[in-house]
Amino acid sequence: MSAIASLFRNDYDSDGFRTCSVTGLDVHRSVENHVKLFGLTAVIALAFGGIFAFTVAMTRWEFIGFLDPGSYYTHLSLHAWNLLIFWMVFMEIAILYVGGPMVLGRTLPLRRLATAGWVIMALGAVGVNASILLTEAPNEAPLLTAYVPLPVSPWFYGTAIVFLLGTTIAALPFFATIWLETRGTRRTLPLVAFGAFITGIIAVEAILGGIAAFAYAFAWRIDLIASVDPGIYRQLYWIIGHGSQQINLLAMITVWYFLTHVVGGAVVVSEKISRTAFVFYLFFINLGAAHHLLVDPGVSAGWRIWNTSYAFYGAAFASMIHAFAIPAGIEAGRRRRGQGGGLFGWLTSAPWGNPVFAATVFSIILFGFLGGITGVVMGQMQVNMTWHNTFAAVGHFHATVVLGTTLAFMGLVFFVIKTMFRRDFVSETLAAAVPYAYAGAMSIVTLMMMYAGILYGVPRRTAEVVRNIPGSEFSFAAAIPIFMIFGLFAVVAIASGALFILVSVGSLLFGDRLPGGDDGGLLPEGGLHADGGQPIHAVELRGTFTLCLVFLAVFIAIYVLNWYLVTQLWAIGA
Amino acid sequence: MSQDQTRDAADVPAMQRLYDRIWLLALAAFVFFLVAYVGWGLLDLTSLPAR
Repeated sequence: MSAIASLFRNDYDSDGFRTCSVTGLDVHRSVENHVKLFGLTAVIALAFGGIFAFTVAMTRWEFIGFLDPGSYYTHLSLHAWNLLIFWMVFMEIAILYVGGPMVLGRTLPLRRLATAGWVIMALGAVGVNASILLTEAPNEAPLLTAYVPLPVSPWFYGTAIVFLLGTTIAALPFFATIWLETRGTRRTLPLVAFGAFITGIIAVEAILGGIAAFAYAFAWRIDLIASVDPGIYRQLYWIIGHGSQQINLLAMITVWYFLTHVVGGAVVVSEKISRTAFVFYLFFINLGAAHHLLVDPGVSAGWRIWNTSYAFYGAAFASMIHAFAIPAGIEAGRRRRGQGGGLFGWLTSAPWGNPVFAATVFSIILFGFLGGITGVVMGQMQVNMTWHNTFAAVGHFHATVVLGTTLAFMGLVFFVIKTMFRRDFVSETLAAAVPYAYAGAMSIVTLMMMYAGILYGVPRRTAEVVRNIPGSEFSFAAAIPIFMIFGLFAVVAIASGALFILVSVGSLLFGDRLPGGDDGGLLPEGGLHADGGQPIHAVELRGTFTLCLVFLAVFIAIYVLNWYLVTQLWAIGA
Repeated sequence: MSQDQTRDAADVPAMQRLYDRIWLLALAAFVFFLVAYVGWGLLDLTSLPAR
């Protein structure tokens, strides 16, 4: 216990503040301890969900065929809830506390509420896991969708609601901080706090939708109401089903801005442009939930087209802005420091040995190329047909929430270990290897998922992927080589994830304590600079411009390819 | 990373003044979502003819 208690100790002044040796921010004990509490819980959820990543992947890889179909869905549900929800949402509450009171140099208000929120969230998370593990016929494991009238345990709906209520309570101290900061003034929030606020509002929309959907189904399962309209349930469900991933996206981008500045020396090229992109997200990103209902009956074509095309392109445009603004910020910042010769000298000279920087930049690149482009393709009504309910959809969201969000959050955990827990890594080499191994292996896994889905039509959700699929006369045997590559790299990716846990937990327990004032080697060359100095328009950004042209070329190629594949769909069965 | 000082309202660009009104933006986005996704969708679903 004393080892755990020591994790929450730092040297604070009589008011409970200390100055962070890396960010220069005045951090209060109340903020720091709650960030640690939520962050540690998130890592526990990551470790638990990662166990089921192994069993699920080894089942999908039929060469191993680890689980029978009956157990498979239970494991898949545990994998999804712990990694897509609990790992991310606990981290996101920590990010709200960083983006709010920590960046603003305030104490955490409503501390008892913050702790109560953690307790309720933890109870909800344990309850959801227990309800899935204890599922018995005729109930089914819920995965994330739990579509009614599929019978799912009422304990699942009840505990999921408890978790969502706990999250709402835990977020209140963040909103109180922002309210106190902006009350009665026209104060401009720092960009990171602005991004965190937008993340919080997106989360409120998603959570209210989730409570509505799960409460509706819960009332039916405990016989308060006789039936549930499946169409209404699905429409409400996807507000949280997709919205929870939009919280991840917003939190991830806020982390990108924060970490590229602190460890990469990036500047904000244009506050106006970056804030505009966040505002576009605020209005449009949650409408993307409609892309899950593109082939559902009930909702009109107008509703589908408006929400997934005209409106959602506002969010896609915002992503394009961030995709330019963040690399441009790195290029401008590094060139102003004299660290950017030639077209890409600013990038090649960057601190690639720093796992926080490497994880953040890999997250930006891989989210953009693999997750972002495929997201726009999937959200488009016609080309959605080549992806819908195939393994390619699974590839898409692994590209967004694993290669994007999880990688960024891994970088943030490493950052917190050094700056808040004040511990050195047990091994700098192993820590530096984590983002390379994880990003490399997961990229291959994700691409194989997409290939299997798009090129061979391999379905999602089934335990048996290429053989014995009930009700199907199609042969998927041609996809077997794809799954051999998928399986091998899944093992490497899961091992890399385990290495991340080992390095993180090992550093907390056995890492040397960093002396006061030591930056732990996190800061870019020349230390952290405030924005200012040479005007941005006087700095060459041709490297970023070139990268953006490459990105657009890939985007166009993938878009055109998917339209071509749509034309080929009609040949099936002809 | 950012300007955080308060200035006279007349000196502040219009876009910045708009973006500083974060609670108003949040409310507007909330109403937009309720109309575009929730309200319109529920209207479609409840308008289906009963069989």
